[in-house]
Amino acid sequence: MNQPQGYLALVLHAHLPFVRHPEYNDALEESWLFEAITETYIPLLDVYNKLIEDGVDFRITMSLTPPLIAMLKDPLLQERYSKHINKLIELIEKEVVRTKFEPAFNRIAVMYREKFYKARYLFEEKYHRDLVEGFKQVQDAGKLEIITCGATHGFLPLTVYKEAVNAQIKVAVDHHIKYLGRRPKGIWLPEAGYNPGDDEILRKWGIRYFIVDTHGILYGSPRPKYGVFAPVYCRSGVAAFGRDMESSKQVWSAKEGYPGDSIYREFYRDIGFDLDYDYVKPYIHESGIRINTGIKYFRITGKVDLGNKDVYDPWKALDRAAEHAGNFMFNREKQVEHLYRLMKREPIIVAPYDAELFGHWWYEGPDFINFLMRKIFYDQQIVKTITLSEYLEKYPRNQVLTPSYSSWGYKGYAEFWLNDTNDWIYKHLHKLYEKMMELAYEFRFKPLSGNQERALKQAAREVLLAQSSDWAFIMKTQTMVEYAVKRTKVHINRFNRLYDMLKGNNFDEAYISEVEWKDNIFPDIDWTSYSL
Amino acid sequence: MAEKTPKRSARKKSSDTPQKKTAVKKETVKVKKAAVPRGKKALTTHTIKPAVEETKIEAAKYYPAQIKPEEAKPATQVKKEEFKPKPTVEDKISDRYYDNKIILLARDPYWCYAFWDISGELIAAKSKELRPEWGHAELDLRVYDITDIIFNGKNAHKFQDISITGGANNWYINVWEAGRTYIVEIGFKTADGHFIMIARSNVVNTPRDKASNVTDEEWMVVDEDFDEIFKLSGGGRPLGASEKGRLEFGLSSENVSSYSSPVYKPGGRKFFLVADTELILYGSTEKDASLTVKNEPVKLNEDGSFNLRFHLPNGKMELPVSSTSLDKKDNITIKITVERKTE
Repeated sequence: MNQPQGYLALVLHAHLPFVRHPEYNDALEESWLFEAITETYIPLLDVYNKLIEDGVDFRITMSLTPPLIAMLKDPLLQERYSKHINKLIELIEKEVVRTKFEPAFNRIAVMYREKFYKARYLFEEKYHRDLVEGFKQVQDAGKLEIITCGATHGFLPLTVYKEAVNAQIKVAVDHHIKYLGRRPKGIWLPEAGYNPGDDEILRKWGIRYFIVDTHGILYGSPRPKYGVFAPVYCRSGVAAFGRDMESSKQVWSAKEGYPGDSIYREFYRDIGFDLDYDYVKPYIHESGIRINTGIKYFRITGKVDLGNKDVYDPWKALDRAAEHAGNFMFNREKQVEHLYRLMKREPIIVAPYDAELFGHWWYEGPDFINFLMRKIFYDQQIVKTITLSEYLEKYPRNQVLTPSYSSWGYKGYAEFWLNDTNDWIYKHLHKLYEKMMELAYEFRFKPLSGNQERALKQAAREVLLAQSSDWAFIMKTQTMVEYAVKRTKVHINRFNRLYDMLKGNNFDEAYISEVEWKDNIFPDIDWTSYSL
Repeated sequence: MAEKTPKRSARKKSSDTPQKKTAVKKETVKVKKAAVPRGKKALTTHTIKPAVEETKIEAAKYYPAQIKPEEAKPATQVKKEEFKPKPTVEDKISDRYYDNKIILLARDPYWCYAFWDISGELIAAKSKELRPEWGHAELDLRVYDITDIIFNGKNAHKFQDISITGGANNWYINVWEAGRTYIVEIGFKTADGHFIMIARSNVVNTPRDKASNVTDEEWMVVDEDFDEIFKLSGGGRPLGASEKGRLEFGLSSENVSSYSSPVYKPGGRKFFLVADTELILYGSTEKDASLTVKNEPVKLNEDGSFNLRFHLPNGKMELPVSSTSLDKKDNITIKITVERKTE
């Protein structure tokens, strides 16, 4: 291949909050993980592996957040996913029969059947239930750069205490090294939320780069010479990459973006909601509440009621995904050619997306990535895919500037996580940080009893879990509000009890054991990271 | 006050009751609208990025469960309340800390958020410092612009006082300018202008809302290239204004919540009828026999029974059911034909 004129860095941010309820038999919210495994994580792994098998050279940067890694590594959740996929297979077998008289539906059912069996095979046989190991293999093959995130996806710009920011980063980096075998070179800051100065903490833990939204770079000071098409260095020496708007819009936008195409599968028509109650009852929540099954027979169709959607055609949709991949590539070629002339060096187009967009939301998304990587490799020589750290190695000399406070959330700053639906949490979160910092400074050089150490570790876990930006996000979107409120309060509560035990030197071991069993994330947590 | 001096209006948010919250919310909308001349509204049509869709897509990760009303029947006893997390002792958290602190958060270029928790004792102690001749005293927030200043309590560029009403313990503060440094104090303000500070917050920096004026000459390229690259990054329009436009006319809550209720009903009117048919084919044969329906093998239950469920569209359906004994010597076939017509 000739020297390309520029680079495309696809960045996928894979995250779900830590949801694991050993105390319940069938926790509704655990299905967030199960759906994402079947529709996003396994299909992406499958795409990566096929690309490698076929000799396609490709690069993708992907974050696996610490809570996601913790859940994918957890034996209880693995066991529950195994049951989940088996139930799904049972249901799709019935669906293949039920749709017998309607070939248009039947062939969709047959497609799902194939996919579900394959998901089970990959999960059980190929990866022995350890999908993180699957991603690690792609990393070790040199195709995937896996980066980290905040320990529990805490939104850092609304965190006043540097110690609390430090803990989010340090605990994440430790956890990442443990499961992926190497120090993360980069980080996806939760919600791309950057506050000037946080880069100092990233540097402390060896992180070389992070990603900000477009205006984080454009409003940086001094002005960026190359816009978002080259990284910049913060004064700390940590690099910041800016998101490209054009490629972003092509995928994210509901109006102009690919996923809104009428041929693609409709997310909101699911047999879990559509079919006769008694028929689907064994496959929805055990309490009888209807949930998504993942079996959906309709396409987006257009601006019609959900009741008037047309039947989905998987083969047409696949063709469309290939077309869209071609269009995306063509646009990047034009973009890169133009920029190369102006910049006189190879630009980098940074295109970050939620990983769960591909597959879970945009069902054909993994196919799109598959086609895109193949086309870029075989069909042209202008653009090449690259990981963010590879680009930094190629171009170690960059402009120095301080990016602006920004996020990729609605309106670009912190409003989505701070408004009258969720602002009450910050009073409590900051009290938790203060108390945890107090404990860390008080106990860090002291010899500790077994109970003290257990309580300190668990207290740090509770602070981190309360801090997930997901809870504030859900309170704002009004989706599963009671759950988000409950999670926030429960972790505050658990922290306070542990704090009181530590201050009173009076330990309830049964309670500590119970909370350790429920909130078992980060077994080796460094609670001293709440001191600087 | 809000309408007259919108730039300096502060938004009150009491944490007391839901009713109060709603009332306050309305007031906020007014304040926001008054803050920007009508002509600027057009700017909202241009957004720097399609964040609404991203929000919607991300929200799909936490897709809510649904109950259809017709299923709340006695046989199933499905009530939404039953699936709310059961309230336990763990849900109760104290609302007050009495820590005499005030904390300030920067939310966006134009808004900061402060919360505080002052004990009755400190209020009483501080009120002793008030002299009768200063006149009536009230609780105020004093917001200082301390950009590039090491603040000593007196050297701010400027400050603004906001009177706190209704026993509020948190406040959204509309600050003067983007990209500045702010600190806030809570204290008593007297009729003649004395201010007795009770607590002082941390320092925050608000984000810039436009490109920086600072250009590093050593790094500058030829102007036209600079401008074009900048423009291609999304910076080619009056950035500050467009950002601001987006901020002032935000998303209303319905934009977000409209997709959280996906259970559909046909048509726009309330009254509706949906009817469809399914066909159940059942029977039994010898446990070890092999059964086919429409020439495809069907797995028998342990006792040799079978039960198949089909969706039944319009038209004539033929369903040959055939059982063959283990030794292949016996075979029985039953031909069933079903017809559905919808008028």
